[in-house]
Amino acid sequence: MTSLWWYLARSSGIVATVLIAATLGWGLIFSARGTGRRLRPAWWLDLHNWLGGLALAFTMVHVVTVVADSDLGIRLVDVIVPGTASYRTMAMALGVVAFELVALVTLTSWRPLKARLTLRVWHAIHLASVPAAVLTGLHAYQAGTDATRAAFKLGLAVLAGAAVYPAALRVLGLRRSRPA
Amino acid sequence: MSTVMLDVDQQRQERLARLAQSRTSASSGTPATRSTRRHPAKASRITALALSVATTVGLSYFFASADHVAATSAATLDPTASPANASSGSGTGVAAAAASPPAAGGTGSGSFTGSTVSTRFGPVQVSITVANGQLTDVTAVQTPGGRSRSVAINAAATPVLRQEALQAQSATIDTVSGATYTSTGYVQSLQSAIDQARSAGVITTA
Repeated sequence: MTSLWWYLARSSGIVATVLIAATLGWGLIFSARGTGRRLRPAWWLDLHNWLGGLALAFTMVHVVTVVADSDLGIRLVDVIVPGTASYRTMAMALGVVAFELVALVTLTSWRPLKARLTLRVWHAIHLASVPAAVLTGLHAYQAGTDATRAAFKLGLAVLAGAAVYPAALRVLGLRRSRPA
Repeated sequence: MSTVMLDVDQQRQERLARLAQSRTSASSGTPATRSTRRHPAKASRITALALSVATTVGLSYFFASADHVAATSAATLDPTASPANASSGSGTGVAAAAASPPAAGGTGSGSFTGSTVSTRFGPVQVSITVANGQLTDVTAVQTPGGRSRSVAINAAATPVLRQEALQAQSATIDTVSGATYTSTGYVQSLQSAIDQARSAGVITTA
C-alpha cells in the first residue's frame, strides 16, 4: 500500500508540474493579447481559470500522497512549514513554498475572494505565479525520484522552454505599450 | 373569460420582462447569474480533466509495472531477507539486478561505473575495479543521502554489500536487512558495471 502512495505521489507531482506550467503559459499568452483570431479571449480565460484549479487540485493530491506514504516519514507540518522536513530539506522547502504560492494565486482568483480585492492587489498577488512555477520546477528537479531519468530532465527542459515563449511575449508586449 | 385573458396577458408580460432583463444584462456586460453563466471552454475543460486523470493513473501504473518487472526478474535477491525495517522502506519499489553467472577468468584490468539506479530515497551508483579479471574493489559512487536516516543506513549497509560482492565476485549477493532499497539498487548498478567489464573483455565468464 505504501508503494501505491509513492507511485501516486510521483505521477501526481509530474502532472501538477505540467499543469502549473500550462496555466502560466496560458495566462501569459492571454495577458499579452496573443490569443490570435481563431479562438475567443473568453475561451482562453475560461480554460486558464480551469487549468489553475486543476493545477491546485493535483498539487493537493501530490501533497496528500506524500504525507500518506509512511516510508518517507514526511509529517503534515513538513508540507506546511518550509524547512522543517528532515527528508531533502531544501528541496522540500522549495516545494512547500511553491505549493503555498500556487494556492494563494488560485484562491485569490476565485470569484468570491477576487471580488473582495482591488485589481491592483489581485494583480500583484497573481504575479506570484511566476516564482511559483520556477520553484515547482526546482522542487521537481531536486526532490523528484525520477529526476535522474533522462526523459524527466528532457520534459522539464521542454516545459521551461514552453514557458519562456509566452513570458517573452508578455514582456515584449509590456515594452511596446510603454510610452517612449 | 375576461379573467382568463387577463391572467394570460399577465403571464405574457412577466415572460417578456424576464427576457428583456436577461438581454439587458448580457448587452451591458453585467456578470451573468450563476444559472446563466457560460463556460466557453467547457469541452476543453473536460478534456483537460480527463487527460490529467488519465495521465496520473497511467504514470502510476507504469511506475508500478516497471518496478514489478524488475523485481520479478531478480534472481540475486535472497528471498529470506527481512524487509521489515521501516527506516529504509521495504516492498517492491526498487528494481533489482538480473542474475548473472559469477565473473571468472579474464586477464584484463580497469574501472567501470555502473548505471545510476533511482530508488525511493535517492540514486544508487557503484563503480568496480578489476585487476587480472578479478573484482578488487567496489565503490559506492552515489547513495541516498536525502535524510540523516538514509545516510546512517547506507553507511552501515554499503561496506557489507561491498564485502559480499568481492567474495562472490559477482552481483549475486544478499540484500542487507533494513536496507532493501539501497541493496537492490546497489546490486543493479553493480551488475551494470560487471556487464560493462564483460563487454570490454576484462572479465569473462567461466
